[in-house]
Amino acid sequence: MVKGKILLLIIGLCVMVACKDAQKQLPILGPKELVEKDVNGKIAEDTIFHTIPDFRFRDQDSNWVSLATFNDKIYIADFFFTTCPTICPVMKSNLLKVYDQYKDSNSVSFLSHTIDPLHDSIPVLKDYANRLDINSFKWHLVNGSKDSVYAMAKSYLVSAQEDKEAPGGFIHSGALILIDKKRRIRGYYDGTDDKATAKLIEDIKLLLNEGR
Amino acid sequence: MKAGEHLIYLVLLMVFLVSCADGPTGEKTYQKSCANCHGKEGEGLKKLIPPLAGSDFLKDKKSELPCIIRKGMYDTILVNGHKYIGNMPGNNELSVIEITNLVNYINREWGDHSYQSEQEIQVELDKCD
Repeated sequence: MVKGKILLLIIGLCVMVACKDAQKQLPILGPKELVEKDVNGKIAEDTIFHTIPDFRFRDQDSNWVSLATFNDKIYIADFFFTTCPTICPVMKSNLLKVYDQYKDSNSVSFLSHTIDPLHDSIPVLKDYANRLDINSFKWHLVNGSKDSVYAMAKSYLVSAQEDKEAPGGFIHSGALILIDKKRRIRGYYDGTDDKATAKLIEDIKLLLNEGR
Repeated sequence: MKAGEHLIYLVLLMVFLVSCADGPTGEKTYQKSCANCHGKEGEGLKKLIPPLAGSDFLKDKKSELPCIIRKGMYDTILVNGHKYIGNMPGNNELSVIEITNLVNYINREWGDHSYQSEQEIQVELDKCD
């Protein structure tokens, strides 16, 4: 009898562990809204997750980039400026590690917003991309008006603003932001930190396997 | 037992000596003030930021190093045949001793392994414009 109970307990534990493994997925971040909706005459609750609104910016090749550019892709977004003397080089160096890992994947893209659009014109972005030796079909460095880029930062729930006191004249978050195919935020990673970058590389794998 | 005690004292003494040497300090300053751009291993960042490791510029312009660290660099420069156009900010907050340790660290890691005293670095710094 006791033996039977122990056996049941062990089986139960195995199932729990197996379930936990199967359900391992990235959280969906940002403000959520609970709404009630009518499903076949019954009231059901539904969660609406925060999503990135559509945008339209030009990239280093003067091509228009919008959410449609990332159709059926996940992407990694960040904010930077080309003359940034502090955290940008190390962020870009870490982002390059991620880029190198997923260079041949059609499902992963990169989107870097300049927060200094007056200086970082399209030719400046082009030169920057050439110097980093990155492919413009995969990694878009985009230029948009100050207001629109700061609004974008807000929608990614990160900070980016002008600050005359800061080195280089701007302050911004060093976050690399992981966005899924439904435009939802699935992770923030400190782009200045090696360990966080390694976690991003792992989490992309997890996200790509989601729903398969 | 006695030999063991001696060994412990010897190890402690070594630890003290190592922590007094300029190595860790120059390296710390490098990691804090330089590595974000020039890389933890002095590798630079592709063709955007010049490397220190294996750099002909570092060897050719060794005497300018203290002034470049303090005042920054706003010229287009040629390093190993590549043109670099970015600006390097100065590091006004670093003291003469910090710059001395930093220069010695850089030269030991990636330069000609030379050593300069604080007085020699001060002479170079006095010449900065």
